[in-house]
Amino acid sequence: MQSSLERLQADFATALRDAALPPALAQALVGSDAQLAARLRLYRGNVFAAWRHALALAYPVLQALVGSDCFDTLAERYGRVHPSRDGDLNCFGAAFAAFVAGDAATAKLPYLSDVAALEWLVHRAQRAADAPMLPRERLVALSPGELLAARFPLHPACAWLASAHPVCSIWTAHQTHSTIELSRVAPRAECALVTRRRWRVTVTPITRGDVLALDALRAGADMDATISAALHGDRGFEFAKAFLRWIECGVFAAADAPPAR
Amino acid sequence: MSTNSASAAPRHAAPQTLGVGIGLRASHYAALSMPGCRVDWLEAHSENYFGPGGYDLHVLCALREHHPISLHGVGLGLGSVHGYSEAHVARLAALVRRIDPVLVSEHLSWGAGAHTTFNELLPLPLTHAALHLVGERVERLQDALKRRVLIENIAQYVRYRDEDYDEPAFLNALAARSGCGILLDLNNLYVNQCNLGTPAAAAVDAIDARHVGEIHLAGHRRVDGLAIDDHGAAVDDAVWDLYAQALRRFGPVPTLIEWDNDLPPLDTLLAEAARARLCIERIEADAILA
Repeated sequence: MQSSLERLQADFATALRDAALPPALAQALVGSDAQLAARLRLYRGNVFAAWRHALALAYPVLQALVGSDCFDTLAERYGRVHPSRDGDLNCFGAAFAAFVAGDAATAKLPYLSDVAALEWLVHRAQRAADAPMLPRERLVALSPGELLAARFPLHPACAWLASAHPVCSIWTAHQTHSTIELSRVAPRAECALVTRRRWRVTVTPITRGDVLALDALRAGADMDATISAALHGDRGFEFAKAFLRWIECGVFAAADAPPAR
Repeated sequence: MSTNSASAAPRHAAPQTLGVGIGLRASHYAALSMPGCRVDWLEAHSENYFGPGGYDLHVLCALREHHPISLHGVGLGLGSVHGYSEAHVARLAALVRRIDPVLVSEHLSWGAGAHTTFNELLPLPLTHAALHLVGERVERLQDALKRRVLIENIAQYVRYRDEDYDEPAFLNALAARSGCGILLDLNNLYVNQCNLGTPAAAAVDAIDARHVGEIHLAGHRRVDGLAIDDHGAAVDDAVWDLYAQALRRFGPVPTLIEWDNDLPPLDTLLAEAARARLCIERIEADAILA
């Protein structure tokens, strides 16, 4: 059987979601219906403001692209379909990219969803576990045979995605001191690598072959199988260039790094 | 040796002589790291540091080398019948192990339903059932953290008709039952007096002095005749009066200047902290003369 406390919280939750004031809740609270409606509106406003603020922190580029008003509307609708499930608001917004893809207001701009997906990877990288990078000296010391047989753990902050849209360029154009102008970004497919060196998260354009290779690395492949996977899907894959890029960006964690907490 | 290990922490003063702290906010990280920046202690919102790594946690670990840290939770929802998260408790416990704070606190509130977390401090009806639920949760929380926690009174905009306790009596009973302390937010008492008519000065008088472990001071704003607890202004004169009353009753309890919205430069917060410190010194001087 439902306790009265349980019933009260269920009614309060209903009042926060919908504009309606359940009669049982009105009876349980001090004040006229009009007064209570105003006070619950205040709570509802606080809840949605907190959610909107959390989304704005995680998706600044999306907000800049669609404008504040449209973003606020999107955030409100998102909160209704995918309400927060965590007391830590940094976890709120994981499904925003998928939601943006399906929303009538934004579905006609298909790149928005992929930009959102990239921003979520950046957001997660910011709070990912710290781990030392795989030192370059360790790699140069390897013979080709040793390198092919090697398995390097990925850094906890490392993530990537492939898009049919220029997500990397769009994201970069919104960063301060960017040399890319948004109006000059050409429509094309782009793949993006997200890494964090010390505290700074960077987004780097990568090739389709990089994505295939990184997928293989994540699945635990050795370097031999990784290169094969990349070449299989991308005949132009240049391992030497890609490997250098991975090391520069901080894709790998030192093998003896402490495990993520 | 890792600079983040708990064993490297300086021996901090006993909580009762901590003095006046300020809330730790990201836009003050640099100013707080300047040499000569004097602040007695810092209070961080626990959830902002729940991630396993990254810059914010790095800064908190660096600051804890030189400042006593208090961890103040805003997201646990101790009174939520549904949606109470043991995973949240585990993340807090991990952070407490890492930071070794001088104080840990949460709110007397609920915040989640079966399928939604509202991320808001919602008011509980102060009934026997609520005391039972929150009392058990606090006991389990203290077991998980292996330390006493402080529970804070909230600002609320609605009040329940049928309650078994008023707020001071509920907090006293909760503290007596679970062994927790009370974090008394004087601005919240005042805001509730303005909006709900619950007398603030009487509440200060009714709180059991033995349980009070911290005081919060903050500002509020007025909107359409309502006092809104937005932590976006200087401490109100009426709240300073309550503070003098509280210090006379409770002694020099660790005090926090809380500011979240329209955050001013650090110096403004330090000036508010200095004013609070002056109040403490005045009360201590009075005590010696008496």
